[in-house]
Amino acid sequence: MNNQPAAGASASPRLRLPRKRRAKGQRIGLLYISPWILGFIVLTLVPFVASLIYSFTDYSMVREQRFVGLANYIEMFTKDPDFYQSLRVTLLYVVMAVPAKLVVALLVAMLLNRTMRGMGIYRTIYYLPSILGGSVAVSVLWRFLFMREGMVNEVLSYLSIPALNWLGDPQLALFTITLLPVWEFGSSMVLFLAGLKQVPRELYEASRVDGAGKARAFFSITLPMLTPIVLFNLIMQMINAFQQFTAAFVITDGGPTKATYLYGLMLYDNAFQFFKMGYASAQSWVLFVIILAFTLILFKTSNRWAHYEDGGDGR
Amino acid sequence: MTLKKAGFFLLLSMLGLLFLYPLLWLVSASFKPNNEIFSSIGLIPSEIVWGAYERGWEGVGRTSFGRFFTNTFVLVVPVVLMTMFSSLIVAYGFARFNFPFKKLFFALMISTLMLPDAVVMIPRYILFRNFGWLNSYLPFYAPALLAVNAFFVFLIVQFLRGIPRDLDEAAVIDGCNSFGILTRVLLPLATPALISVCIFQFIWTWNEFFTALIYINSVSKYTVALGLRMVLDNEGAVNWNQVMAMSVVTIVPCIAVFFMAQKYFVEGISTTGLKG
Amino acid sequence: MTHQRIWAGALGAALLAGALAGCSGGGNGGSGEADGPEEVTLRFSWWGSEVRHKALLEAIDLYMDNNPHVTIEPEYGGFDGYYQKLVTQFAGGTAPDLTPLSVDWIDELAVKSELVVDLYTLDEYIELDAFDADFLERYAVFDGKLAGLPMGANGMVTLYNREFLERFDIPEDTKWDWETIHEIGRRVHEEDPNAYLLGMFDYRTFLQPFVNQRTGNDWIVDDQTLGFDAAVVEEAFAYYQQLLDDGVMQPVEESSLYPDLAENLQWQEGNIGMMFTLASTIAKVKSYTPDLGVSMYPVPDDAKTSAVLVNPSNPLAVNKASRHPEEAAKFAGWLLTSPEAAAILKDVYSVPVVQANADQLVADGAIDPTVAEAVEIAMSNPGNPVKGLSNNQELNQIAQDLLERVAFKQLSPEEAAAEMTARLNEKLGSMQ
Repeated sequence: MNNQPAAGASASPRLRLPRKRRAKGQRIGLLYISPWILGFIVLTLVPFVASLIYSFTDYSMVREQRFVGLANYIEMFTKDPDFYQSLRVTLLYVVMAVPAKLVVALLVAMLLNRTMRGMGIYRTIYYLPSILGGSVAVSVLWRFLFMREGMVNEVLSYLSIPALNWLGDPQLALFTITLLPVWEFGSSMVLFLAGLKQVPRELYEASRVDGAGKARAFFSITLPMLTPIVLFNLIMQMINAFQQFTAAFVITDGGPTKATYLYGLMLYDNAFQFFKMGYASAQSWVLFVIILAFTLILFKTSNRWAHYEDGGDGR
Repeated sequence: MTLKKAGFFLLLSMLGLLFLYPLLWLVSASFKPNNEIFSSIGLIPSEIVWGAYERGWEGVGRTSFGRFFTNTFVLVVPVVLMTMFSSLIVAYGFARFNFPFKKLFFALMISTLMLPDAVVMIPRYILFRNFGWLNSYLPFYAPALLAVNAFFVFLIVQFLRGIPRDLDEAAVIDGCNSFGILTRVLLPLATPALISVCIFQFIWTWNEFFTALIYINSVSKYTVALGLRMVLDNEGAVNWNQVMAMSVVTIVPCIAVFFMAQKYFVEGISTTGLKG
Repeated sequence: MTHQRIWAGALGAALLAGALAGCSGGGNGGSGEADGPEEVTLRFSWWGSEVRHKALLEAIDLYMDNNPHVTIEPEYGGFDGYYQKLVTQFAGGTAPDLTPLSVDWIDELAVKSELVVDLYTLDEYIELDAFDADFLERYAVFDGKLAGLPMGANGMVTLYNREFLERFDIPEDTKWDWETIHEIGRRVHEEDPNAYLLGMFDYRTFLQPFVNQRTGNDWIVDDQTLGFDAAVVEEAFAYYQQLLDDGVMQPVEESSLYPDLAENLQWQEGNIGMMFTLASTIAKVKSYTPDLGVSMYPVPDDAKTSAVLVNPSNPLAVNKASRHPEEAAKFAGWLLTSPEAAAILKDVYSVPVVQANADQLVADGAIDPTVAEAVEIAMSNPGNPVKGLSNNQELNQIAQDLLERVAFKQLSPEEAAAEMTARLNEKLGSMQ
């Protein structure tokens, strides 16, 4: 995490720390994170390293594997049209779905963050799609909403907008698929609600005394106080979106004509339909690097906009 | 003012319908004849078919759905508690202390979320087989106990960092050690975060299908997520109204947990300590 | 130093875990040295619907009553994820002793990877004579090895909605070929613009058989070369576009929403007349559309081979790693050849391959007559078995994608045919 001081430079920050007390006993932090270290070594590290090794083999899960060097990576970048198609579709998907979901989640959280009777029921209702996830009910609903004679087109016809083929038209299907995770904004909403809870009321009172309007209060108090949660949601939703599988799988299964063939679907096909686990591993590590790059960029820029009450910069 | 309020509720309710509909549809589907379930999106069955709940609850063979429910609770409740506990401790370490390699550890932790599960699944399976954990719930418990899911740790870190340090220091002056700061000062203030962890982990584990499928062999150890799908064939005819009925029953605990938990976002926690 | 102790502890735990690894591998099967036959535990896993689960559990109980030394542990569930789990188990050496295999997986799991027992080597435990030797030889034997005992016979047929045919005065005994489909389909759509004779085509129900009928070859010959050239495929693509243009088929923009035609609303509402499908899916289609009839898959008079797909239904295989292959074979043989097991299983795996059992079930009315008729029709004029690379999932996917792009008019038949031969040849080259 970039807004933490460099660990290797622990000798010099010691000088910058204002109080000696803080520098002492900092290493007890290692004790606190030791469960994770143990979990990482025992449960995570081996499978990760194994999959990295697979990516240089023709591992098929059921046969002896052979070392093939960079062949998987070469095939991916030079011979596989599906790879570029999936990458393109997935990037588009991430760019559309993540911001839309966060904006909707924040708006609804603002709406629902009040103490009124019955508000709990509304919160629950808006969270329902996140509970249902990829169930049959959802895929059926989506088809009925967006098919040619579906409800969406019917509503549009009242507004004299011509009917569109939301799921059958390759140009449009990805957009329609994107609406599903946006509609399942519940978990981001919950975190925003929890974050709003942490904003001290005194700040609002002070701003009211200053005569600031609601919009002003939102941008000068609420949003800055929420930035740690915004950063969290942004990073997590991005990581999830890059690996998205369910939305496309339950509604279009990647079609029509691979217009919704997300990276996650391609991986699944290669690993479990075509028995090319080595190839799927290589593709996964490429995705890993892409996600890592995006995450690093987000963390880097977040230094400028994320606001921490603990004095920022990890001090 | 009241007009405005009424308009607000009207808007919320109209939008809410779009979110409520799948659940209503599920409930109505559990009373429809099989051939009608997928032929319309309407909520009114042409004829009401009773008994889907009883027949669904009976389950297949020797194991009833009640057993799946018990199993799921035995699986989910410890997982939720362990996740809350371990993630809080680890997050505290990351949020409040500077120690060697902290940056590296944190980056490693977040990066464990970036590799698609599909390619880690088989080596992990073989690892857990070597541990002798197959056909048990240990593949769920152990990661929860060791805060393996970085999502929750990162989540709590972000919330802890929103709490001013001055509070910690005040507690130190009062004679608290570092663990005392966590339990007496930070824990009460981090309740919204922990409630979120509880909601997410409960619902996700409750619905988790694939991991359960891979690790659990015996039908007597199945969870509801496995029970729901155990009669879904790719070719044969499926008694959909029973599946829908059990889907409804399965969702109820998740809704209940959410409904009970969400009120902590509005009540209960005092923020007066946050004057700073 | 605290952190050193932590590291030491963590490493110690990791090593301990590693040490434990050696001695606690998942095993199956029991032991015991009691008198009489050895106590044996077999794990048997399968997927299916409720009817199938109940029937198999009943059969298992009966077998265990008759063979007290055998315990069979059933592991059953739906189809979702079944196969990923099976592959994972094979990779981890924990696969069940007995499992059905879908014909789509046999090539990889059974043949190339040699994960299952050649049942010819266990013929003393199975009454193989009960099966039609020809059928076994043709459909269940791969590289000279019997990969599994077919649970049933399955075949591709034309499945039609009786009401629809009546509505448009189409005789049920029409002998379908590609031309009659075009003619009648066009007439249907002219009479009623909402009606279509067909829903959609895919690779398996149309492209491969259509091409094979013209060439007389397998799709991939000898697992090495394409059994066709670009011109034949182009013809197939052009024919497909023609059907779409003339309203013989529902527009793809609508049908592509439903990979399974049975779920297509227009089919359920009776606006689509027929589909080409495997007999095993009839029960499912029937649950939406009760009044169904079956006839022969379209075979033109000048076809060089009928190319009617016939499959063994989920051959039951014995894991090579099983500790008790003989006992597993005995059970499998009993399950699929004995009359009492057949009476319990009925048609949960389509029509039994053992003729005597099939006849008895038909006589008892225990088999859906439409399913029985479908299997009989397909078996009366079977094409070559589709095996090896002709049934390779990755190659199939390439053909399926191009077929779809032709339907969406993203490619002309000519372009698509050229791209298909090029891509398949490239893949074939890299597979050698």
